[in-house]
Amino acid sequence: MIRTQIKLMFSKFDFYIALLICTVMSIIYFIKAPHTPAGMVSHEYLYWGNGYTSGFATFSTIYPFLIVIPFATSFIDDLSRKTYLPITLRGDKQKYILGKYIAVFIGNFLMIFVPFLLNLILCFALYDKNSVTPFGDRWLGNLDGVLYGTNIVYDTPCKKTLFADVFFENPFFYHILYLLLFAFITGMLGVFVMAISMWMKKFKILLFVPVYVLMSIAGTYTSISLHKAISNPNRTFINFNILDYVSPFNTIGGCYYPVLIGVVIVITLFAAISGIHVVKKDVI
Amino acid sequence: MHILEVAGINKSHKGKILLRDINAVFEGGRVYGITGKNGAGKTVLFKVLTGLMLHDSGTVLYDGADIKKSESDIGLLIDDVSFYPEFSGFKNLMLLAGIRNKIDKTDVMRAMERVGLNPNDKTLFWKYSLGMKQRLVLAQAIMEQPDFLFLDEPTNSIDETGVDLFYQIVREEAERGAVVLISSHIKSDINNLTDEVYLMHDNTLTKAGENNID
Repeated sequence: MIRTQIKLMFSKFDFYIALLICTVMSIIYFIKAPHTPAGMVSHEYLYWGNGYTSGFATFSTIYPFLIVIPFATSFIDDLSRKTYLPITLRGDKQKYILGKYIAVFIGNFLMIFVPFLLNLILCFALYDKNSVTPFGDRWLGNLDGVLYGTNIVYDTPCKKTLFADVFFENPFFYHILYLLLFAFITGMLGVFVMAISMWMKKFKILLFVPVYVLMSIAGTYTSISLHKAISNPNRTFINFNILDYVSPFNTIGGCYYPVLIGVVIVITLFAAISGIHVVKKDVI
Repeated sequence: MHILEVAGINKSHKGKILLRDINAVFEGGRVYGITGKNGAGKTVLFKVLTGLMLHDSGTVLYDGADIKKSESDIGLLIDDVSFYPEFSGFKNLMLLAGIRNKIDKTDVMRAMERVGLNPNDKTLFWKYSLGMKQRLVLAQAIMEQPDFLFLDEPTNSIDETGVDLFYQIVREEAERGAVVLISSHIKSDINNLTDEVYLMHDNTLTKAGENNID
């Protein structure tokens, strides 16, 4: 049952369209990268997935919509076309739901992992390892300010960049770890959208809305929290913008990782409750 | 011999009774007809018996095992069943065959040929005519040689040649030892095919007698 859903995901155009969009962006921003920053910038600086690049800003805008494309509408499609009937007849419904979740997770994971990895490999292979990294100047040896958060003037519970020590050992592996985290979260957001579709069985188009709205609200709260922390030393800044947690470098910091863990737990619980609702309430 | 035992099945939805105290025993090698007016509960009964719908009380035993734990193969032809419109008929059936993983490509091709479809036809499902769709639904129902076969209004959109072919398939399935249940409001289907007839009326199932209804 689970394998069938994965096979189905790989058989659909939707997944390849999403993958194509991201891959095309990956190549465009690889070609455009050296024209943007000035100076002896290093290949880490040119990587598309870094939070500050214009390419990543553009990508962030379409990200909430891209999440829905690969497979997140599959449940609602099955329901409206009744294609779930011959499938659930051949296996139990719990496995059908689990298969949907696993397939949407894999689809979204690959949609991010493959194009960003391609860009990362191209940047590290074809652009030079120069002095200026996103964290500071390698030759001047001042990278630790950002990586360990000693340059941050406002109060925040987690100043140190996740995997900071790895960057000094192996910058490429450091980026891979962040990429895995990014792909994982994208997979989880796909699961979240699919779980929503189990309650909102009509109006497929509305599935494009929830992640966009939640990310907009998170962005607003992050701005408010940052301004309060800057203006008042007694206030603590917490970043709620999820994309800042999964990019190897972000300009404002404040990533408090229990927030990310909380998001994953909430999505997992919501997905489980939605699945139980579908099975117990004879939705399928 | 395969046996399906149904005892005390009740089902309601949003306060409306859909099935009321359903009791019956269906044996392998025989064809059972279930007839009744539209809305009498025939389709709901099939959905409950095949596990597609949960029942509120009662038991459904496939060869002595509760439906939830049963390993028996069930085939179902129901009006609602549909396939992925962007795939060919063969690709759709291969996808389904991969769930139980009991049959291979050859079996799928044979099932399609049995119902008069060409397995090499690359036509996408959404381009299928109504009759072809119904044939494909029948092919998915029989392709795994199920021990229990449920056919809900099976001849609805099939032409005359198709109906003859369908009758032949039903007889072959029963001869193989399968329990075959057919629900239909078409008298000729019931009279030509079934060994025993049940009547679905006011959400209850009663035995109407041997193979002839008027």
